[in-house]
Amino acid sequence: MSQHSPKINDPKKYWLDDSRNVRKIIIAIFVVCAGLFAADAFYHKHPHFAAEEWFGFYAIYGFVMCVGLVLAAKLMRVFLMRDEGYYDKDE
Amino acid sequence: MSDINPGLILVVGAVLVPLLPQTLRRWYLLALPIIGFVHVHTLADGTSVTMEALGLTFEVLRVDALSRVWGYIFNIAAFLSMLFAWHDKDTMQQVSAPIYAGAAIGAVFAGDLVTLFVYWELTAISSVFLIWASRTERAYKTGMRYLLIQVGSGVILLAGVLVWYTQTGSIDFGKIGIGTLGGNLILIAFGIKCAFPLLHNWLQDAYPEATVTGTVILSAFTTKLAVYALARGYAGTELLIYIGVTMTAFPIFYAVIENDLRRVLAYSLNNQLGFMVVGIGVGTELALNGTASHAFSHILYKALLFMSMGAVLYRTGTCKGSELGGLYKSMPWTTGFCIIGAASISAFPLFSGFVSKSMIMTAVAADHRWFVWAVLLFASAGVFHHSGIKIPLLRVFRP
Repeated sequence: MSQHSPKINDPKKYWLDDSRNVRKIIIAIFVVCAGLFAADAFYHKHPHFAAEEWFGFYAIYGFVMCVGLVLAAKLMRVFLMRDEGYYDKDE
Repeated sequence: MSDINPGLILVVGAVLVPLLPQTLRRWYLLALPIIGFVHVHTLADGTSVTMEALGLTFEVLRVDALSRVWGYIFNIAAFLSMLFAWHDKDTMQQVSAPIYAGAAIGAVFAGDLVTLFVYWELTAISSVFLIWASRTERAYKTGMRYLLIQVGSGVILLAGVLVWYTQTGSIDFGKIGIGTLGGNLILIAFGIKCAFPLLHNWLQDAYPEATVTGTVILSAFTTKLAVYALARGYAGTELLIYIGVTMTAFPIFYAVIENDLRRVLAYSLNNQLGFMVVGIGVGTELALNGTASHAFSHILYKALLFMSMGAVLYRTGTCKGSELGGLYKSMPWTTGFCIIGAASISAFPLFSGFVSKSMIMTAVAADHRWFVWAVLLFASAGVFHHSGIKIPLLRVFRP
């Protein structure tokens, strides 16, 4: 850390410091997501592909792909990951 | 003035920088891209300025709709980068940054391949100083590797242009296409600067090692110049669809496991370039307009993201995700701007990335390429995962 180090031990209590408030935000996000998912049934679509007409296609596809990405990256860590100073070693 | 390549305003203007006192330099550096922007605006479409030399005709200035888009955004990017570097008193960067930006603008308005080559090389040589300006052993070595690859791209371009000239008898920079030796060599030269898969590693190697302000400037020009060159020479080349779609997908996996947040952004830059390359490969009017729009918006939101990570690095001395957290308390403005950039790159509705990325997605779908479309959709979800969640939420908000 340099001399510019931010106020790590800032005594001021922020709204987000309270775990109950973080919980409120998470619940709000869940509600919004559920609402958007349900809304998929109520608008007219202009699909290019049949899959786009399936109920909740974009939400499910995005979710599955994100989970798959994280799992694949986890697997890649095993054989791709090097420690951070790996390329700093002198030849 | 109407016969001057707009890039020269920044290139020639940069030479005067060391002669000015620091207080004046900042204003001067901001004024250059404004003059450049106005100049681009006053140039009429169809303007062409030629020079005769060595028995060849060089078109040192050519203005059309395609070059104009890039001319505008490059001047805007130069202005924003100079503004971000307002605090910086490093003469090396104050000179190299405008030369680099000017060279990229010059290349965009080059009407022939030899003029393009000259500016192409100038971007390589001027930009390496933004990496070396970190003045560490690590940055020095990275800069040498970067320079080797960038100049390598230039040498391959020159070879390609020579072969192309002997094959076609023309040095005009128009539609080139693959299938001939000259055309293939030029594609490889463009591909290196565009960070095609397996030609990409200079990008993730070099950009995170540049200075706080240097990375912002680097992120705007080199790769987008390559996108411009591809759009000019290889629109509708089927091969580019497959190259582009690979580019959108593979960097995401690396972005997920990377800890240096500026390197995460470098991977996502690579992924965003993939969308543009796919658009060029599809080559329809909507796809090419989508590519130009995506390059335009991408330069803005990617610069914003690099600025916010640069501010974190400047303030805390590190950009490692594992060492950061709770920055919303000490850097609320940076956090806000970071979220805006993240929303845009994630193509959140009402943000610029949503408009431009949707154009490319729609163009791909309209071309009935369901597999390409599905991979792009996956890549969009992946971008949201690392740029939209990893960068702002986990690192900045984590207590």
